Amino acid sequence: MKFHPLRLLQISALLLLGAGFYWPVLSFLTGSNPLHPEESFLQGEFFLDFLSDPWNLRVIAFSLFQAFLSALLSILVGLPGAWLLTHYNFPGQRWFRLLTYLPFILPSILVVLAMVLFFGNNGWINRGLMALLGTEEPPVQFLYSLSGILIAHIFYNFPIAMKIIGDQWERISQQYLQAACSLGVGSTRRFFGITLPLLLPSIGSAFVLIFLLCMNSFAIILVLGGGIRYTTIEVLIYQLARIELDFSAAASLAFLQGGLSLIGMAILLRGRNRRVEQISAIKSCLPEKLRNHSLKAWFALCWIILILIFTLGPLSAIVLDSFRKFENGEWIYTWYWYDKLFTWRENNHFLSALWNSLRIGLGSALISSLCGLGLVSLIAYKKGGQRRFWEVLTLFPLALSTVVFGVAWFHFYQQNLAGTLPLIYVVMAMHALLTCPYWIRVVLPTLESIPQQWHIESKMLGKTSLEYGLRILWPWLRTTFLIAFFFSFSLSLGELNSTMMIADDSVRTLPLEIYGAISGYRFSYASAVAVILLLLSVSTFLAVERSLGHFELYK
Amino acid sequence: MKAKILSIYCLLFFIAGINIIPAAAEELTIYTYDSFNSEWGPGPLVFKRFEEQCDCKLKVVSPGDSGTVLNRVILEKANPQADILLGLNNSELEKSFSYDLWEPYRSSMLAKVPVDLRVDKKYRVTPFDYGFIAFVYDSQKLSNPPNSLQDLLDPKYKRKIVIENPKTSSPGLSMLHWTIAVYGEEGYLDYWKKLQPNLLSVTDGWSAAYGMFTKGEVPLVLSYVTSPAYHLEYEKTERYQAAVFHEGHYRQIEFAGILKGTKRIKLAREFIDFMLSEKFQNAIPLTNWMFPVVQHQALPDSFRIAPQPKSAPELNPARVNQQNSKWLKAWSRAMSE
Repeated sequence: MKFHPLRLLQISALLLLGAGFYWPVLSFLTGSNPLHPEESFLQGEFFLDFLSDPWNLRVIAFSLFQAFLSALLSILVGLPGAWLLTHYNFPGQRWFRLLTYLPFILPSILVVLAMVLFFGNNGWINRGLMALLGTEEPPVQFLYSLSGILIAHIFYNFPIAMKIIGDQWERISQQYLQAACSLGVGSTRRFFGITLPLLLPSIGSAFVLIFLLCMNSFAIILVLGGGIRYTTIEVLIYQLARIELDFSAAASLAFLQGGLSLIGMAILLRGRNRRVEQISAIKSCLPEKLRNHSLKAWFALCWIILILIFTLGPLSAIVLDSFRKFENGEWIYTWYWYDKLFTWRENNHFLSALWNSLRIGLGSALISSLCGLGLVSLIAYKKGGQRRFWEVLTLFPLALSTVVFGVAWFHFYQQNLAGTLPLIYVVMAMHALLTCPYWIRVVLPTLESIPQQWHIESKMLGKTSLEYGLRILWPWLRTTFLIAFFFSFSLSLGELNSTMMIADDSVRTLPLEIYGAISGYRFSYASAVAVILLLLSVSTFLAVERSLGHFELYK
Repeated sequence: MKAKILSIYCLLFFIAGINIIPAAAEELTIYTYDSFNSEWGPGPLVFKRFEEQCDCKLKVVSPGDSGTVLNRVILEKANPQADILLGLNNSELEKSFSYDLWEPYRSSMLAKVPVDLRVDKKYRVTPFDYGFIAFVYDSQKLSNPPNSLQDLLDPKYKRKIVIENPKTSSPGLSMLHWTIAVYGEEGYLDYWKKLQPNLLSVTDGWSAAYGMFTKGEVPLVLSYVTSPAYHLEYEKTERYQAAVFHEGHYRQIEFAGILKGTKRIKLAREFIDFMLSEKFQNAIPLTNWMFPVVQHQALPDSFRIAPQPKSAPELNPARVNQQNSKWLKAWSRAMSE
């Protein structure tokens, strides 16, 4: 067999995944407790003990329940968005898309505070409504309960659903629908009979991703859930690892949580891989349709407005907060915090953190893309057990508690790597491992919408694989690659939990700055750093998009 | 064109990894929690002062909150990387003793520290600051603040209080211990059950709770008696006040110690002495917002708003270590009924 350049990527991706994730985690979990070397880490007794307590079972049930519900609702909110973006053109749609991705970058503490500033009892909405209705009680009270958790999770995650589903929707051929239409099938039946089944793979993909993310969610569940009633497995793991320093129990629970997620994934990833045709739909112009009083178009407009309020609201609360300063008992508006950010002074940690965030983000997104490319080529077009094996293998890093991953990684790092590699590369690799599953989930549905036949046909025409890649795959996947790269980049910018354990001052990033400022009571300064973080990711997105334009070889 | 852009990207990627490696002077490694070493914390100030004094280099590593730092030191026990751990509070103390992490040192400066703050009779750790947890209130919204733990149960505070979760945060855990110290093991769960309707949220950490308070979401938050001093010092306002409770307040003391296996014992001892000197102690009030253990000079003017409350009865650290996980378990079950 001729050596294929893709093999190199596949091998190095598997090496990174194996050496960077599976080996450290498994050797930690199956090894002996570093504190009590005579004890093995995972103890059957602990499991039995834990599972025999009905209270713990309720915690497990709630973890699964809220993740399931959050994923379901995110998809229900994201589905109209996917439809809208694939069927209509409207002014500013590129910015609209970009805007919805932004919450992803913010550290959870700021998302929580933004939700409180906007939806809280003393938030913008309630103050507005109270002034309008002349009441004393805040009329909108959904935070601090299960609905608070769900709203925040949707805010975070519906763009993933919108993206992944939209990508596939774009490739559904109009021919099926037209054929059905000419047979007199109504639009509702057309949707449920044709479109939905064709979209199912991408819906499944998005569902799994969001489900796993919500299983590991932490601050949102505690703060916006009202705190006590809603405990999840992740909270228990945190309590054991950080407060009680019981690594053994924490690892056992992480193992349990990982196992549950695995089962969930195995069920959700079953039997899907449908062929989709490749003629993209013709988009109509939204403003024009509105003038024609199309009901669908008005529905689309309502959705856009709702989402804008929903996303833009909390984000602008942060932006506004960054211009505020509390002085002599009142809030004044000022550039003070930005001034502070950019003036040169001793100990200006911000600028070095900005540089660190940028280089770690770009580096890890690059590694994650290369790694993802290798892994995605192992999964694509496979069927049955083999496919499921690879899918689960690549998704598992997402399913493991980040707290435990941090501890396991630190243990591994300390024994094997400390002093051999510059820390910055280690952090990049670690971020790449955590963001790679996203990359794969985003790219996979689009890649599989390319008929395999094309490859065979191009071979018959005497084209090499490289040519096929550059002429067919690259133009087809370019936008998807860009978005996947951007997701990886954004996730790396916001990553905190697992890096902190190995990080030192040479790799301080912006989220750490934000936490530092807040611990020092500078909440508005933290908002200003967050605004810079948002700007950083937007400009990186635009820059990457622009430079990818240069690579369009065969247009 | 393409090749050019590609090579620029490659170049950028490599530059990204380059770090300036400092010349090898004698280097002391200190582990501390992140906010101590943030731009706003005491770290940048006091570490620089020490470097000037000792003619050595400090390597400061701040991998997270104090729980994370202790985690890291415990995991590194076989192969210690740090010389000093700075920033450990009373509820974590006993845990650290059980892992035998410390190289005892009795600083001559310790004589200046009040006796009741010298908790460790074996001199494994040395206190450097202390504070009291307290409920901070917004005087524009509450004219008649609560003055006991019992007062907090009043239905007029329904959904008006935010506290931190004892399972994930250190002030939250101190609050749990506070109620156990005041109401005893028989009574604390009852107290919490009655308190529950008044809690709007129980947050994962201090940051979210205090953020909700300053954004006007609630008029009462669990923080420290010294919190109002920040607002007076930097915002020139006395709007935020700490409520003084007649049961007394639970005290948090922060400690530092020399870690076993250090190769720079002399320098490490010098640092502990420095920590009790005025160069370190005077920086504490306005950067760490705690009380210094040695008062070399009068407290800053803004501290007039921070009351020095009487101490609540304290729990025996050994008992805390033994019972903590039992208490937490009972607490979470009682609160989710």
